[in-house]
Amino acid sequence: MQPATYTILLVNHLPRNLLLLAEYLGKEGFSTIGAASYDEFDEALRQRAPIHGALVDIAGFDTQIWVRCEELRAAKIPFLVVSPQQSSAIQQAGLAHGARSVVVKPLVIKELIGVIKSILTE
Amino acid sequence: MATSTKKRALASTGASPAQAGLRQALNGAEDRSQLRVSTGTPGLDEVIDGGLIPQRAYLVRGGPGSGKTTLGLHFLTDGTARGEQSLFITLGEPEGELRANAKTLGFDLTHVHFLDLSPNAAFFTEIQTYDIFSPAEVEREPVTQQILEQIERIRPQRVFVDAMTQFRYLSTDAFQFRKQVLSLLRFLVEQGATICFTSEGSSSAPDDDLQFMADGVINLQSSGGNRTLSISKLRGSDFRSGAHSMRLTERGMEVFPRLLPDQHARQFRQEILSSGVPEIDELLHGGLERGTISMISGPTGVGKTTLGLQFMKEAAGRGERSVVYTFEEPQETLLRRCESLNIPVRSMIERGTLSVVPVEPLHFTPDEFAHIVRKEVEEQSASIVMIDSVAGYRVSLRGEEPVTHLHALSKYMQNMGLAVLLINEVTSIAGEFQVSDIGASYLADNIVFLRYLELSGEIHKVIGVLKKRLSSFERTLREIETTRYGIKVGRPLTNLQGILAGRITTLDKPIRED
Repeated sequence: MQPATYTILLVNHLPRNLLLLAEYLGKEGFSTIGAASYDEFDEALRQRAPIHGALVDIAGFDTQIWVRCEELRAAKIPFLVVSPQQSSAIQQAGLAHGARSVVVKPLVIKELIGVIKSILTE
Repeated sequence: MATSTKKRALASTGASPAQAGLRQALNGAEDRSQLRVSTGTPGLDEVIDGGLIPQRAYLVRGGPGSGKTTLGLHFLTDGTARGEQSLFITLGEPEGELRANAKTLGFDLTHVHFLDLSPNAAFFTEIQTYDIFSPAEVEREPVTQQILEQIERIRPQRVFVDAMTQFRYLSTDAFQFRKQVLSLLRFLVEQGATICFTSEGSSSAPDDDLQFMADGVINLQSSGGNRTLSISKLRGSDFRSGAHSMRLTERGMEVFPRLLPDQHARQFRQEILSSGVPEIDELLHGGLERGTISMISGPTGVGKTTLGLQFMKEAAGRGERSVVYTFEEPQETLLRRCESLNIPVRSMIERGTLSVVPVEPLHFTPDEFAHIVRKEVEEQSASIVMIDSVAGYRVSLRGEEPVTHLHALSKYMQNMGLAVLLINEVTSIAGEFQVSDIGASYLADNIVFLRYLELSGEIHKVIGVLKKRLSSFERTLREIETTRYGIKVGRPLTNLQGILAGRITTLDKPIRED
């Protein structure tokens, strides 16, 4: 796999989270697009550049986030949902709206990279 | 100095293997004393046998406000004053605040380097807030990098890390924390630094692991208004055990090491100090010896302090210095009273042969008081010290076991060749005789007692000697009177009996005439 060819959409309401994710994924050769709001999310999906995967942190967003997840599913973009806590309700909702997996914060960098790579090669 | 002489003597002769061993030991002892790093904290070096062993790591632990950072400031500024490089690694309080607080305490941090790893305001405003990864994942690497860069740039001889427990949040588990701290300490030591680091230990977040890792552990405690410092571990060095009084003042921290009398001694002339009143000297078979503890016991107003000052007046005539620590009577009252009894206290004070020191109630701990007395003994060469009174000492000084501390202080003064006078007030005015209400009479080598007695409706005072360790003494009682000409003591009262029991009867025929 050549990660440099993959672009990951990062949905997160905290700027520092976006920066950290961009930094660590960048080190692994991924390019990233950050979205801290619904507008930024919509803008990212409208752009021409292809998005190969997404990481959606639901913390700080309302239930509209599930609509955005459906949009990702419709666009055939594989994505992970990041949950602020271990919750079967979020787990079920995430999977029901198309997530390949639901991961719980705090994430371990190495594990995250592994999961992203696996969903991109499926 | 003695060690050097012995070394030279050994070096000049063909030394046997045993002598060579001794030489090695002497060299070792000298090297150890030279190779110590001062903590810069007054009194603390004495507790830890001269200072910290260099290139080792010491844990300073204590609750909030216990003085951990202040101790660190002493440690670092002592280094810069000696031309060493000092580095303060702060993980809690920002550099600006630390510098401002240090300035108010009089510390000059101009040459102290800072590595500020404390969170800044941006963290609160969410710009810096993150939760996607654990702090251990995010912060560890940059923090480690910053420390490495600073250490390699500054090459400090002294490093203070405040607080090491913050690194716990940069570790995923206890094992990682231990490994991280140990490797950091090893790295600093390899770079030639002596390290002091603090911990914010509490019952909910114990710091036992740090105590195991450190070469020495300095504990700062505070309870009931009393601050103490104790050492619970010091690898490769002796230290004074127990809790030592500590004070945080506007000049920083001061430690008052617990007085160990057997560590203090000096040569002194074995001679008797006369009272200047022939009859009292007759009672005592000459007077009171240097290097003894004398208790002057009696009820209120009977003349105990006056009797003690009489010895001081006589000593002043020989040019010797005496000190009275008064716990009860205001200084001015004492001076006026003495002047009315022909004891020229003011001129004695002016000439420096007397010092009257009022001790404020609940202001000092016994260790602090001992420190004051030590300064007087070792720097001002006092030869007579009077504690007025034992009961005042007991209630005025803060802390536990006051009699034990008084014992240590008296023994110290005894070893230093002083004549110690302990004024002991007993509560009973008349009746059954009692030397001391608080069981302190065992301290005394000599016990002189004063009593009231009532004869034909008139109150009289008597003086007697109950105990004298170094010589015999007169077994009879004598009448004593304080007049404007001074103390007057009469002939032995051989025609009375039952004075001590408080049931006085007159004898037709005296038992004995001296």
